[in-house]
Amino acid sequence: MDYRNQILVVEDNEVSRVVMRIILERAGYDPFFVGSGSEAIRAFAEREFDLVILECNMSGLTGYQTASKLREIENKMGSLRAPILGISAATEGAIRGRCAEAGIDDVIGRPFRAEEIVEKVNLWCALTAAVTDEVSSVTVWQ
Amino acid sequence: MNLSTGETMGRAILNRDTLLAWKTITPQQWPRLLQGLLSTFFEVGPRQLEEFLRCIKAGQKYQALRWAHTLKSSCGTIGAEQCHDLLESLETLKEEEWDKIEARAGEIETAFKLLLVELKAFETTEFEF
Repeated sequence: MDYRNQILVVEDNEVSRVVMRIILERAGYDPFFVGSGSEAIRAFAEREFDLVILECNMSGLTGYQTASKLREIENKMGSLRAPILGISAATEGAIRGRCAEAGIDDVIGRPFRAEEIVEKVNLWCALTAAVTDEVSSVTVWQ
Repeated sequence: MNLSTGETMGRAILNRDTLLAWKTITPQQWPRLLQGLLSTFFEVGPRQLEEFLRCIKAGQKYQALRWAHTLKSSCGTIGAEQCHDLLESLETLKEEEWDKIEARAGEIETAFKLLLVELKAFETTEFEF
């Protein structure tokens, strides 16, 4: 079966969503878009994603708050830790620290550069796949 | 080659290179991307600006800055450098500098109107053939 990584994209800006959709679909991914933190929490509780991309400075629930909630859901459900990539215009140390505190693993800079997005998404999806394979093999051998 | 047009303050109203960069990355999807991008921007950009200006008039500082941030992201994505920079400059202003925000809103409105003209011209050029 041809498996396409499921990516949850949490972006409240419609213009950015258009660009992100094209980039991710072209790179062979299956993006699922929501426009707010609360929608993301609902979607994340209902189905599994290989990766989450979220805008750090959304209105309503911010990306940081949303990421913390997603981590809580994972802990509660005992599911595998999905990588979370934050989108932020500022990518310096202070932002990275804030992201790490919220459970965000990496930062994508704004304005978007397609190469950066694809590179980071490929990397983190590969890591997820490696962890999933390892967990599967452990389960088989038990 | 720099295809920037309408440059003032050292930054382009529309840096066409930013949009054309998407063309080189996604040549096959270019017409679809451009159409999607422009139609979305023509629909949501003016709405975002309108909300920003409404909040300024109503004295809703926090909301005004939120809309400014949203519009800044939209502008950055399509290469609207001047609007992007003007909107970004609001983020560093302090609470007591609210009068500057009000003054800058006029500049943003003007830059945005010029941007729409530039975008229409760009759209026409790209879909000419």
